[in-house]
Amino acid sequence: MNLFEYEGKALMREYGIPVPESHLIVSEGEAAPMAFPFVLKAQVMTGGRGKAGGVKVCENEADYEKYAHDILNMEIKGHRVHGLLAEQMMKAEKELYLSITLQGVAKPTLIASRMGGMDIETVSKENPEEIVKLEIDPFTGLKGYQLKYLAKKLGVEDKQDLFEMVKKVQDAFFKAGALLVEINPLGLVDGKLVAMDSKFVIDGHARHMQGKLSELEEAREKLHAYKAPEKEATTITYVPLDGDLGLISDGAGTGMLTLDLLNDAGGHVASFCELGGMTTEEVMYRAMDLTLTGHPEVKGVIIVLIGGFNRMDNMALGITKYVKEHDVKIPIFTRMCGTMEEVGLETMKEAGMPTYNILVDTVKEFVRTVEGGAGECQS
Amino acid sequence: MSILINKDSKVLVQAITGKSGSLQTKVMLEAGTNIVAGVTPGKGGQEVHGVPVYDYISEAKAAHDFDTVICFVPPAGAKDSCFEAIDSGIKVLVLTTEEIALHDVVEIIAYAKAHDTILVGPGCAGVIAPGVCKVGAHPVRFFTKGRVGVVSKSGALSYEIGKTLTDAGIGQSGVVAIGGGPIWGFTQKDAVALYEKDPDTDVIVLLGEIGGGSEEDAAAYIKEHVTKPVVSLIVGRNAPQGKSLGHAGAIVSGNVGTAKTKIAALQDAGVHVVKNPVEMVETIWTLL
Repeated sequence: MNLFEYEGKALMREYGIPVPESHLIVSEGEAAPMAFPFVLKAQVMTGGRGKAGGVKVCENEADYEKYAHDILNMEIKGHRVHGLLAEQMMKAEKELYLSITLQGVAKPTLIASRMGGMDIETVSKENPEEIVKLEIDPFTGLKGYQLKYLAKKLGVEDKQDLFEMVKKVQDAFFKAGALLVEINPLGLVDGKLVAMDSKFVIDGHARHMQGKLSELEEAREKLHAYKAPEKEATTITYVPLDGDLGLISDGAGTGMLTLDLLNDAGGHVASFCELGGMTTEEVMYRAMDLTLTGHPEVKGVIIVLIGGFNRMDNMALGITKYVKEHDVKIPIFTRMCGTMEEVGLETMKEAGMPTYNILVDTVKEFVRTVEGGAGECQS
Repeated sequence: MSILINKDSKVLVQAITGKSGSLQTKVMLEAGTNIVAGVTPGKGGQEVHGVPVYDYISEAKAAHDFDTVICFVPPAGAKDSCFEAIDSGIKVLVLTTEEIALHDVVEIIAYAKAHDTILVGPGCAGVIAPGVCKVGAHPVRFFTKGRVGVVSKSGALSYEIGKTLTDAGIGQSGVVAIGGGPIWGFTQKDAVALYEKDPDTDVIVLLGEIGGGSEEDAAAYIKEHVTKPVVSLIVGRNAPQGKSLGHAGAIVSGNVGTAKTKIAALQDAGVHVVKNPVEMVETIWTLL
């Protein structure tokens, strides 16, 4: 789960990381929460808000009224602004970059740079020598020599202050089961390091954080123009696309293969639906419902099943039940094989639903029937 | 011989009394796997399909020899169970459990590495040596003994390609599914390295998918160290940017993890990259 800056900073405070004083504002007309001047920062789930005009200094009441109105009604890179963080002004003598991540890396990795306040991807491309990367052993944490090396590379004078900051960030990373803790910039203010921004991503599978995450989600209801994303109770992944063919699979790999085969055959996929680890009759029924109601233009559905853990008898029950109850008229092509396929195929036959065995042939036949295209794999 | 497992493998099943554990134990036994014991805390003294059950691995070890463990323990207890398995001095641990917290996965991988245990997974279907035995969820019917070694992230895709090869009359020496990521113990590169050394494998099939950089790592390894022909299929060419299609690891962000970069790296390493299962079969026939 990605946290807003205000949520991340509240967590950082809990873990003892120094952050500026700040207050969340969720609507226009709220009284200024602190003495002028202060900074007003858009609370939005994307980067680049500064360039987009989402960060403004308020010197007085008039500034505050104007900027609060402007920023609250802003959309940045397609993301709605859901609040404002009014934050104490801080003049940084230096801006550093510091993060610990588990995204796109095999081990927890600390990334730091003297060139803070900029997009770290850009720094890494244009000034790779300015990036420090340290792998963290999960059983020992960062070791003394690693911290000293980091201090050297960052050219920090007050090493003790840096060590404390890094240890606290590391502590926050491990205790929160974080996938990312990023501070950019990490400001040097009056000789001490302060987290001036916060990006926090918490692993949705970190069981000890479930309470905290629901608490945060509940608190989001008071945000400006905020609608909680609908939560899927099953393990299904449903991704809407812009074509007209529904695709359901019982494996991510076969789902992606089928998506490619459909495209190569000239088909256009309306949605990608993968069942995930739970493969009961009810989950299959739910997948049918998502696929058939999620996209009004869907002209046909291809279901690709190859059961290992997944049982075909259950799958057939889910499919036939849905089709019967909803009187589905569009073509449903099912490729069914694997565990308990004899029972599953029999159920499908009784319901008068066609089944197939060879994936490539199923895809060709499906595209030919539904789209009327040539249905040949282009190579 | 296959990679990771062979006819001499002696296997212990963790969470053998659970729904998945007991069903898969039955199927593994039917496939010829020598399962010597199972473990479920609190269920010691029972039997599952004739396999004796113990509370702890140390108790099983007092009565049986084993070198391979397959773990079906749910996410909350998976880390501790893996530590217990690794502490017993095994060679291979197949971790099937999905949705384990990533910090737990990091610890399990580090612990396995420090103790010289090969960790396959997490969230994986495991490994099958067709006609010999299997330690995982692969449905036996899709596979047949032969000389093509397959590695895949996705379990279902490894069944799909196993079925495709079997339908075409091409047998396999081994089929490994390592899990959907985003981090792995045993990687595609590790599998390729083992198949290169395996005297029963003539052609290597590398099934990849978008996201991460593990196919690129495998390509770099192949370029330097692999003499056997490698055929590769990368799925997710048409996946939308920034969205995960069912596997946590299968996500393209910016220029990282695209099918294009993977295919280019593999082609540069001399790998035969194919677009679909039909091309795969045709290509393998020219190489066998």
